[in-house]
Amino acid sequence: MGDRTAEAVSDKSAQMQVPYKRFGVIAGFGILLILILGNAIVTRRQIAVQTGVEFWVSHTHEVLFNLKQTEVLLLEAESGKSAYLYTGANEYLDSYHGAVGRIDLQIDTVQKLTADNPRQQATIPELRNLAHAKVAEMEQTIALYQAGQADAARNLILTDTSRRTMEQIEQTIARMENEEIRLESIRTAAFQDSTRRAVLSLYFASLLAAVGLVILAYFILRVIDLREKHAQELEAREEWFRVTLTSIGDGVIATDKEGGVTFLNPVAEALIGTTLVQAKGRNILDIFPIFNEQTHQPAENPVRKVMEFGYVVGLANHTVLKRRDGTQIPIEDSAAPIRGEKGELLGVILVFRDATNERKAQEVMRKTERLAAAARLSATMAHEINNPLQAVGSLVYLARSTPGAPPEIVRQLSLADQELTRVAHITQQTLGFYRDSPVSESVDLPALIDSVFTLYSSRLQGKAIRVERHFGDCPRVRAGSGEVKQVVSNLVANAADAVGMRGTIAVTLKSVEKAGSAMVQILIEDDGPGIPREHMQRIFEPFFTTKQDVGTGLGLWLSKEIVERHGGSLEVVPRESGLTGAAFSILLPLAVSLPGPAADNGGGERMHS
Amino acid sequence: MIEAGKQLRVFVVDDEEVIASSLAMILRLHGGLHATSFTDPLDVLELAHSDPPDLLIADVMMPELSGIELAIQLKLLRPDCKVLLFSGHAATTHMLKAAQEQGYAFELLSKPVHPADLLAKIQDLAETTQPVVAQE
Repeated sequence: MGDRTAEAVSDKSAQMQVPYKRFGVIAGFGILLILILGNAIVTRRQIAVQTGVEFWVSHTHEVLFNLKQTEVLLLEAESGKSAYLYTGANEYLDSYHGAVGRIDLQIDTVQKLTADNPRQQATIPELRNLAHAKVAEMEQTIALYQAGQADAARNLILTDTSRRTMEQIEQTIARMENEEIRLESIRTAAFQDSTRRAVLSLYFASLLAAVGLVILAYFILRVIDLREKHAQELEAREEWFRVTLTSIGDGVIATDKEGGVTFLNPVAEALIGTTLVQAKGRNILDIFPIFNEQTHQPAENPVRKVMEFGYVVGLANHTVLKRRDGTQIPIEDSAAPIRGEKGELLGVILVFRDATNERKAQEVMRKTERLAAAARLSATMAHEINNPLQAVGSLVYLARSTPGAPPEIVRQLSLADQELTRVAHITQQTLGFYRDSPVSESVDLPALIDSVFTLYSSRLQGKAIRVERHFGDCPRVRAGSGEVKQVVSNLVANAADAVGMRGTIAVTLKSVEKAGSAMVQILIEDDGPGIPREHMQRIFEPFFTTKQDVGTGLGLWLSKEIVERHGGSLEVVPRESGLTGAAFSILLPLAVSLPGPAADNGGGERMHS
Repeated sequence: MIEAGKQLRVFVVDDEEVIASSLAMILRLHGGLHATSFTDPLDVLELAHSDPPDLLIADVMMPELSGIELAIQLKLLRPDCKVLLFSGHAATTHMLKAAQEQGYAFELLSKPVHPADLLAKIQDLAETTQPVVAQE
């Protein structure tokens, strides 16, 4: 019981844990998802940063290139001019013009490229002016040369203005380049920083994800493990219940709440005469048809009653189950509701068993009970009848033997005496020794038989009957001596009635072996006419008699009852061939196993409580 | 018949007066016995102290004292006193059995006893009994 409660509790907590666990798993996955998303955002951001930085770095390179290009163009123009001045070849002049023509454009490009940088923008006009000054100076030189004033042109060059202007331009460009390089270094640092951050973020997120995954995996495995264990336990318990129900010695039927059969154990299968497979799902009323033993009306099915009222129902008495093959067996059963955790009706369980033996035992008990009641009644009646009989018998005897009584009166009193003897005979046969006490005692059969002969001595003497006694070695038997005496009396009295004048009654007493158990046989024989064949079947029936005047028809019936109650038997046996008459055999068991005082030792010390 | 000089003294005890007195009369008239009838076994005991009988014929079921107890008391007073018990009740066998276990085996006749049978029985007993008067 305690185990069951504990199981129920753990069950409950397991069920309570399931939502928590599910929530935990979902939350775990959620956190991981957020981590991955966060990481993606961070990475994306870093990549964007890096892309930006890269753009600016390449932009710087472009600015630097264009600045260099500006310088190169000026130098190209310068060298074109110089070559023209030196050679006078027009192709050099073309080269010069080509370079000069692109300078402004080049500076425009630089201006456009550095539009976001106010410091560079501020330097651009200076660069442009210096470039213009340089170009103007070169224009002037070329113009002087073309006008034939080569010397003037040379002097102009010799003023060194051009070189200084060029130096200024180079310085300006160098300043701008430094600015760009400075910017580039800042951007490179930012790029490296961003890269580092992105990598760190990746590492961190990966680490977190890995840890999260491990934890999640652990929990999921644990839950799966628990589930598996739980399932195994459930299976084991189910198996246990199934085996238990199957092993029960009584028939067990389980139904669902509509009365459909869900289970039948082997005993139920055997009693009903159907199999679980055949019965499953069918209605209990079809599978378990029961009737009243006496009225043969259908009996109310206890399962229906349980479904209706919801409590344990026992079966009414005298119920029989009609089996598949049509035979009927008496059963005893009870039905009980199967309830769920919340008390709701899940089904009904019906337990029943074959009550054939019980019914038989009850029948025997009722019979014994009736006999005991009869015994009590007869004991009371015996006292009430025998005392007045004694008084009347004595008075009649006195009156009859009064000296000088008229013969007519003596004759009438003799008739009265005969009638009294008849009454005495009847009470002795039916009520005489019938005991109301169940005490069994050690009975000395030879003495008992002799006392019966003493009792009937006058009657035996009256017909001059010869009595033969053949008493072999005979142990005492445990029995009710009064009852055995009643039986022997009845049989001796019958024998005395049967034989004619000078007939013979023979009593033989011996130990015999019957069906493996030691018994004592009392054989009472007479040489009368014997029992007619047509009466043989009926002599042990109550109220069957051939002695219309004195017989009650109860003597042999009662005798048989008494002997059988002692576990013995009373029957008519054939006499030896050639002998007429009847022979009755009483067999009594030597019930040595019966408890009680041992055979009498004649001592007087034993106190009787 | 029992000789006059050896007339046995018999006490007949039954709580029903008719039974006791009629039996005593039969024994006197037809048995030639010195028979006295009693309805109260205590009276028997009182008288027996001074003058116990040769034979006691007693009913078993009596309200004051059972015939068996009475017989035992008499046996104590006079061990050779003969006893015949009679009863109309079937339940007396176990009482006899109890007496037997104390060392007293009494013969039980069942009521109704035909007077002729009773006289024959007493005749049997008398043949093995010497009256107390003759002994002393």
